[in-house]
Amino acid sequence: MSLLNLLRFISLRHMRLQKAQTFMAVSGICLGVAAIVSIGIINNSILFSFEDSINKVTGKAVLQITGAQSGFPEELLEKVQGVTGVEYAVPIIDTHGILVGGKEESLMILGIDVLIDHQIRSYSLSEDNSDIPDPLLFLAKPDSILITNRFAEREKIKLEQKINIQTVQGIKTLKVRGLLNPEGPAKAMDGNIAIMDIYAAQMAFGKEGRIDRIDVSILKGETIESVKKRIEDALPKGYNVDTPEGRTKQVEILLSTFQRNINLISFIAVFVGMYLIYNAVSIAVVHRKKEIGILRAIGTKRGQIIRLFLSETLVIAVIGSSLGIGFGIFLAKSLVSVFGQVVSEIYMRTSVNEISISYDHLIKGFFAGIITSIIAAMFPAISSSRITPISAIRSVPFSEDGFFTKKKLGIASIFFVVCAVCLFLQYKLTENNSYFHSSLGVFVATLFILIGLSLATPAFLKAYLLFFRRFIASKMGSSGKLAGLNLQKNINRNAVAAAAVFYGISVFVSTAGFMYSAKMSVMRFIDNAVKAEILITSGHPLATTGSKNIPMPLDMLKEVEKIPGVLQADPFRKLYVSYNNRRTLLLNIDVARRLSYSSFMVVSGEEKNLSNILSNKDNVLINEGFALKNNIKPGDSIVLPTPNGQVSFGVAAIIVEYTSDIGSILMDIHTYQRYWKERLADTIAVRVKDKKNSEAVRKAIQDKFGNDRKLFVLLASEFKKEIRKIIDQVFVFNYMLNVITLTIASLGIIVTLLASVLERTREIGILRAIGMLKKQVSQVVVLESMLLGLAGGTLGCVAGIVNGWMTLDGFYRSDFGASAQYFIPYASIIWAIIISGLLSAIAGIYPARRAAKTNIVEALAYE
Amino acid sequence: MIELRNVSKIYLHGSSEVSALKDVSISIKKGEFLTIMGPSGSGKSTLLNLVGGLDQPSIGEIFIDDKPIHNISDDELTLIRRRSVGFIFQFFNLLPILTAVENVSLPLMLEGISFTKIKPKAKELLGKVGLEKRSEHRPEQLSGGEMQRVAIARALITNPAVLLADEPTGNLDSKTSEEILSLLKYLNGQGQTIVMVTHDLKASTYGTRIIKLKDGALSEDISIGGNGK
Amino acid sequence: MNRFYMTLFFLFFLSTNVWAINGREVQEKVVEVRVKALTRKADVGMVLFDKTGKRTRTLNEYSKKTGDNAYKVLVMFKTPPDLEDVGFLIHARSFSDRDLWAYFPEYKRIRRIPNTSQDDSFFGSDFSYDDFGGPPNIDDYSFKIIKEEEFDGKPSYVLEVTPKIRRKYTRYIAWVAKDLWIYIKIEYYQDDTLYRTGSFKDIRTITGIPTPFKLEMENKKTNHRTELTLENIVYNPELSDDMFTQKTLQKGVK
Repeated sequence: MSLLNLLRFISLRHMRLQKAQTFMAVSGICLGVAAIVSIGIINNSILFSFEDSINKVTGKAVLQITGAQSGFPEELLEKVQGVTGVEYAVPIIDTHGILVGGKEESLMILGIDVLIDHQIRSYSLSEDNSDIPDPLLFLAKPDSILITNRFAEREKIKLEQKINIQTVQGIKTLKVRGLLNPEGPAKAMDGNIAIMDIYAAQMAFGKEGRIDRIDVSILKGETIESVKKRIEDALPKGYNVDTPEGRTKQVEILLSTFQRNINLISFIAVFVGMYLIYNAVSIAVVHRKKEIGILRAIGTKRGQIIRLFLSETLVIAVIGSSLGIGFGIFLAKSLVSVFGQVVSEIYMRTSVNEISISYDHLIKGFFAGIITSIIAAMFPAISSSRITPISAIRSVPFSEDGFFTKKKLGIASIFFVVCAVCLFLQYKLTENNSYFHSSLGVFVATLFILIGLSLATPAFLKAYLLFFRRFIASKMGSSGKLAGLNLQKNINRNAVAAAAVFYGISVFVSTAGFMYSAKMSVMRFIDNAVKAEILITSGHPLATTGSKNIPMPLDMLKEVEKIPGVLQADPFRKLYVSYNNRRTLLLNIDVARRLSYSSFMVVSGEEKNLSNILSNKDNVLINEGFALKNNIKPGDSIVLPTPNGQVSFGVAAIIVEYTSDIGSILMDIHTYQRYWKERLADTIAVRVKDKKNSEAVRKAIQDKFGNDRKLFVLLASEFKKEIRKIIDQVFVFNYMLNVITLTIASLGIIVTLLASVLERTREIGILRAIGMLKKQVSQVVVLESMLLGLAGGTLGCVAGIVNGWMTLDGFYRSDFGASAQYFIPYASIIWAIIISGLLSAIAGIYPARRAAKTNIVEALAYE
Repeated sequence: MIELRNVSKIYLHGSSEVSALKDVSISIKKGEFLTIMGPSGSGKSTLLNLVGGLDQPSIGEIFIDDKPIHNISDDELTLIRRRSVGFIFQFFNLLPILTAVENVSLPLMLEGISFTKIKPKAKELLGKVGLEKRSEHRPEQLSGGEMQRVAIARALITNPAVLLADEPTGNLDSKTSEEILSLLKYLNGQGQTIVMVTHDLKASTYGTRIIKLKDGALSEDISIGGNGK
Repeated sequence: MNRFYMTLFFLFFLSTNVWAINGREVQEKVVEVRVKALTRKADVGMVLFDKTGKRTRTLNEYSKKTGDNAYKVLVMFKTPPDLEDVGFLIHARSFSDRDLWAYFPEYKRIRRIPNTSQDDSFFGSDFSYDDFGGPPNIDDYSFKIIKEEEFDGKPSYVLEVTPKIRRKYTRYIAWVAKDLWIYIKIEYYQDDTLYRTGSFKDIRTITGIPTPFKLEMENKKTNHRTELTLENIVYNPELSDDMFTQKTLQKGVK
């Protein structure tokens, strides 16, 4: 009751009066919640879209049989059809091509047995409502393809028109023999799906006699589990029999890094929101110190004061969180396609245009907003209750009482830092225990570092000012001396302003740190791995998951080597295999040739003689991520599914290899050809005899092959530039966040300084009374502001370096491996310090003006 | 009814100790209008803060209505401030965001009583101090004397055992000062115990007893008669 | 008995005995004629009409009765060039159980066409698989004469045919020419919607077998229309069993 009275008569009035602060607090929470909500929704929508596409493409199939990525013999189909309980087992070629011309759209191409596939999926092929004028012709001619109405409209393709599609066999001319209505699979992928007869697809994609997948529906009364078991028993080892849901799960695993990355953003956004709340409440406490004193004097208990500030925060948090949910949905709506594009480009084709809201995320966001706000308000609220009634009512403007005692602050600060260290150590030491080994732990650790160090701001500020006065102030004249003195007078309150900068800068530096490190690590690896001058690919040069890549036949190598100026052409084949039910990248190169000009970055295991160990032998190299995830050491062996069944390979060494974030295995291409019976390459790396001729050689290659197939012939330098672009793209949201945090931090500085100037009206009045010029007053205030900013910035850099390192470890190491070394982002740190000083100085200008305008008489009469 | 026994108060000022009060023992009876006088730094405000529960003595015991207010928890002390004493300050210390009547009601609102229930009583008190027409005004719209009257009404709303006034006229002109002092004398006449700190000799003539402090110690205790029992 | 009861009795008598033959018996007569016509060869011209125009195909059809209710059919496309040598082979063990294969020369591959889609369109024509070869299995349907009328100048029974198990077409109405015992018109319904209509014209009697030389099927939903014209019909020619094998399907008829 008493709380309601106080809320109604005091808090609500303050909220109305202090519109700027209320707005800052509300928008802080709103932003944080919006970030959680929108990222949650976007995540959800992307997954949902994958799931939806998978479901549409899956139809009635409850089991899907997959083998190695290069497909398996079609004879297996009969085996599966013979299994008891199987209703239909239909073969699938699941591949993709790129439409040549037009918008160069990528198409999912499903090769199906049109005569029976309708048992599993509804294509309306033989139904009368799709536009397939001559089904017999469609079946009889291998150049037949069906596309969706939507795709046809988009690309302005007419029925019976010939289209060119980039395939493994080069550019193929296919004839559109029908348009599919949006039904079943034709609805998936936003219509970017084409259907061919399975045998036509086999011919077009060089998969004669092979199929990629078997979709199985089961008879009534049979359970999925038992049929699955029977199929598994009927097939040779190495085949995956999985439910479509299992495939969705695989997508989730594939996208986990991306999701972790954007989750990190939402963590940081919440943190920024927390900081804003902390700042707003701290300022309110300083600002309302006298009011608190009066309330205490007339009999308000400490607990009541704390509860007052907390419930004030709660009111703001409820408003902010509610707005945040709305804003979050809006953000998700406007950003979902951008995110979808990034995912498509880096991970897997998808087209997400619709958001799917899950109430989970809304509720999670709402409560995260409220809980974090309350936590953020806790410290200033507790400190507010330490305000003694006497100090406030007697108008003693600058007493050193109040907030935490220095000792308690020190203890709290050390406590949090120790907690952070413990959490992080626990993370490091329990690498194989997923329960403790979670990114959340690391996040909490980084949070604790921030809280701990921010609590140390007063102590740091004191030392810093001592240093300033001793070594610098003496050279700056009276303003400098005064500034130092002033700041020293109320270290604790000034620390709030410094902490504002601290948070902003630390987030900036830590993000910059791990981005820089990730980039450096990848670039170092690329420099080592790519020694060639020219790279030939047929798809997106960086499609890490081959999403738009169409492999080239290996025979092209010799053709390339015939071109004058070419020294050597090396193949590179990447595909996915399933290891422990996880998609893993299998990279195949000509090891002997590679070793002749560049070595591997071996982390552990064999280093010498790798050429002998690997070349056409059953040995492989693995990357750190793969080793870590599966707990494999050099000397162990791993069993991989090949089209010829399970084969065991020895692990010769663990190497640095960043081609994919899901773990990779490196094999000699001869070994690969032996087991996979496939002669394809995704990339051909060309070394030239004379580097000066690179451009000419590139043109020669382009001229020679450009007619038959669509090729990207890139100079290595361009390729590296592309990589940088991709990395930047992955981090683009982090950059955006940096800008936001810095903006918010400077907003914080302005508000904090303004509050501090208002508080010091009387003191400034005295300074003016004893003869200080207006100009000097504003100089002092700006200088103070800058000093505070630099102090916060310096400490923020320290926290940022530590947190950046922890974030790299906690969020990215499992992908990059232990060799993901932390690089201190010196450039960013210098920027951070310049920015913190500059922004703070700018932030001080308005308060300085206010200060200079202080009316001496009024200031002295001030209560 | 108010009993100070061998009370001392020592402040730490940097590394040196400053004794604000030195072994002071006073007994204040119900109905007295006690004026505490002394030069700046003599410890008179310290004494008042101790009696009002704003501060705790370093040594010694203080009782209000035989209840000790030394060595008790902050919450208990807060309740003493809320229920047993009423404060009037030199700078009025009204909350600027509240109207006169809301300021007066505040102590009871802390008890959780709804404003609508308190309002009649608050208005009555405002009437008593002569401000019935200004009840909806905010402090900034009131003159110094009016603000102090609001403060007095606020101090009285809990029917405190003692009204403590810290330089109540220190910020007012002489005419207004007289009005406030007359009001206090009137309240004292109605039986309200009052303890007032002032350095204004004229103000001291309104009370029934004068105590003079010098360097933290009691130097004079003069009774001027009146209704002290 | 008064007049009223007399009338009632008369009406009752009429309603049960108005036709001397019932629906199933009509169909049995139709099947009898169809079975007589099972061994034959013919050249078929097929014209498909749709909104874009017409496509013409020619094909040779061979069929042979191989048992009581068993027969085999071979269909070979001659034109257009895109479809040359595309063929179909039907082995019917009974009127309700048969295997169907197709051959596509460009793939050099014989493909089995699953049994379940026999109501479906026969590769873009408006005829279904069921329209080729023998009659449907009489026990799978129930038949009812709904009226008698003259159609296309021929007195006919109008037969309502209902599959006992729900199929794509839930009901047919067939006009059976009295005395000839062949369908001259058929309407296919999906519930209450008319789906396709077929008409059988230019009926000539060859070797004692009444034969429609012009067959037309129209899909009311898509406005597609297919016309079949028969030429050079020979009934009961010498056709060896070797002709109806997958090998012939692949190699073609010499």
